[in-house]
Amino acid sequence: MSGHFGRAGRRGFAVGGGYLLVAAGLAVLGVSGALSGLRVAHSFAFHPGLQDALNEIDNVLAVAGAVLVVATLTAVGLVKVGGFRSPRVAQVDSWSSREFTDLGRRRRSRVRSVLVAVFAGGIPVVASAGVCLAVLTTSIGTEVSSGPNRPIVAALDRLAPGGELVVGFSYAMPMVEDAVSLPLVSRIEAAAGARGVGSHVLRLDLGSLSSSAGQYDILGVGVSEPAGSPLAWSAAQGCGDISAAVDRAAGIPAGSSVSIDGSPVRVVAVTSGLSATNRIGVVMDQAAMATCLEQDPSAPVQAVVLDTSAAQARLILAAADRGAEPAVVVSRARYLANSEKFWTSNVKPITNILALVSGLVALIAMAGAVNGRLLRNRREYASKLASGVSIGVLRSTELLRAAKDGLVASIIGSILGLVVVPLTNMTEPGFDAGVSEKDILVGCAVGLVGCLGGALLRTARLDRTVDVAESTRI
Amino acid sequence: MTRRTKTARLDPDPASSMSGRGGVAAELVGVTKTVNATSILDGVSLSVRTGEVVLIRGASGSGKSSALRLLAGIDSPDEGTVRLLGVDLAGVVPRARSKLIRDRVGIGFQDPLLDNALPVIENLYGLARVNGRFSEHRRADRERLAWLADTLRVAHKLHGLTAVLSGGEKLRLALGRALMARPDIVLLDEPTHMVDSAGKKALYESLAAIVAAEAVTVIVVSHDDEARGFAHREIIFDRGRAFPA
Ligand SMILES: Nc1ncnc2c1ncn2[C@@H]1O[C@H](COP(=O)(O)OP(=O)(O)O)[C@@H](O)[C@H]1O
Ligand SMILES: [Mg+2]
Repeated sequence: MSGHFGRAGRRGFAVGGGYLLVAAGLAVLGVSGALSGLRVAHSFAFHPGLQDALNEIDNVLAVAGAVLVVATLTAVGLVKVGGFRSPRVAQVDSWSSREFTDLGRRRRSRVRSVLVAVFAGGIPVVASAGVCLAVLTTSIGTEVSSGPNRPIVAALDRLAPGGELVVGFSYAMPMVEDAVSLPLVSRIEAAAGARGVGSHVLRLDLGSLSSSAGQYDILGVGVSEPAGSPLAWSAAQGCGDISAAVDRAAGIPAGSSVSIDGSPVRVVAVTSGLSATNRIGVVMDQAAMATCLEQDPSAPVQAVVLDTSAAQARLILAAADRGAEPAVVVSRARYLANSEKFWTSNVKPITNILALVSGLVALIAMAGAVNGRLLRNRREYASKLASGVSIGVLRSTELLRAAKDGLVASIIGSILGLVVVPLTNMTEPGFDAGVSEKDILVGCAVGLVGCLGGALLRTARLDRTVDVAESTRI
Repeated sequence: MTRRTKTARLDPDPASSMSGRGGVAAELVGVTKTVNATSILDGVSLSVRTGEVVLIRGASGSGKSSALRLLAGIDSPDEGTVRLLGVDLAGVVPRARSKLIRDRVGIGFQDPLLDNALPVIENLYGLARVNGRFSEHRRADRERLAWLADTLRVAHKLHGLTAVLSGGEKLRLALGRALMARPDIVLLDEPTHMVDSAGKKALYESLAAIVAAEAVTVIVVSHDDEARGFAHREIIFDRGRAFPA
């Protein structure tokens, strides 16, 4: 007896000493490491094939999510309907919605009875968080990838629609440095007008805006405003009298006065969809932009947009006589593709990995939850197995429960995502992450694969987890 | 020594009749079981005829539960033969054992092992229902449910939570669950364990009423005096061996 205590005591002393030593070592290492900026990294060369594969993950997950949601809803629905005729199925459905052990719960709540009737009687918290995380990373990935190019797309869609563009040089990038001189612009407009083809000028300017709210980098989009438009401007008005529409991302209300590149500007309208990540979109008359912001009334424009076919556009450009000036016709699609190459940061592989990781976390967590439930209820499961219930029936019970949990997690996680994703827009001016159907489907894939996969993993060896002989003995 | 073979199917032993009064319903022949170098059962043989009510008595630790668990196929012996309803349990795959149990055998464990979070009524029918032996659409099944609940005196608690039942009510409920699927034989391990004398009496009276009505074979492990008048015959266990009373 005394030997027993003596040995345990000495061992405890030695192990405790080990703990203290490791703690002291980590304290020293932690402080010195933090101060010296210790960082562990190993660089692998960029792998384009891997990037392409990862780029597709969100699409694959979205399709998987759509298939799984439909399949799971159908399966659970069929079980509920089937239970109407088959008492066995009804019993599996009932068992799958509740724990067997009471866990000290003595009262029944209305909310829980609804949960039991419709889903699995509880809220799978970790799986819901996984779904939310997947929705978040996918929607942020989409925004970070496409956000920078958004104002160019919007400008061409809404402010200067048309099929073809005349630009200074087809590969001229960045576009803000592309140039078509004003005399050539006038000749192109005249040639287009003679053929009854509409034309628009597109002028881009990178500048800065200061308001009482703060200072922002802006992307100025200038178009020729027709006389009478609230944004129209003529040289006679002077640089003290400019009107502009500012993207809602800046949070500047109409009626405010701001200053852009030193010129006072009146905000007469709030627009949307024209901000790039970290660059607020501002729309104004292109002449005001050249004269007051660029301080050069004869500054060339970035593009002339022609509302016609490529062949027609080439005829118009030829008729306009470009002389020695470089100018070519590019299609709208080509222009956007070039712009995309220049602006777009391809972070999707990274955010896709995050979506996968959240799926993996959900899977591991749900496998753990299933295992925990099997262990918690192992005596109840064991008594059923001993009483002749087949393993297949109990496995179906767990899978059905997982299907219901996956649906709940998908719903709750998506709703959380709808709330959380817009909040990220507060962190960066012009950041405009939103939840699309695709983001939600990726989330659903994560939730359903996590729950169903976790249950499949853990029920594969249900008879090992639940030792019938051991668990039915007192 | 018999060995468990994976391929053997459910195959009734022609030596014992499966039906009719007087046939052998359950049988242990020369069964031994050793756990952790300790002998638990040391050459046990016993035989119970169809329709018989047999009481197994003996000191705590004498091997009564172990013998019953062998009969139920929950454990397997080191040596000897276990025959239940004409089936040599060592010769059937687990799936066939499951089917035999769910179709023809009721089991009452020493601990009631109820689903405490479920309503009382679901504990009564759930097992039989998932095994395809109870249907709410069948009038006879509904009537049996009501009759069992009545006889076992849990009818007034059917829609309450199982967790809050008294110890005696839980034991009677477990008994009802074992009987719900109209088994040919019930194996009950101390069905009155931890209940006062009045509770024991109530339970055996209920059981006697059911046995009288259904001619079910009963093997019950108990050291209650209350059980003695109810059984046709007693078997005494002593240190891993079985003796006729
Ligand atoms: N799986 C097991 N592991 C260890 N000991 C066991 C096991 N099963 C039974 N025993 C032992 O075998 C003896 C008989 O047990 P049991 O059959 O439960 O007795 P009874 O039901 O007659 O009280 C006891 O001493 C018990 O501790
Ligand atoms: Mg016992």
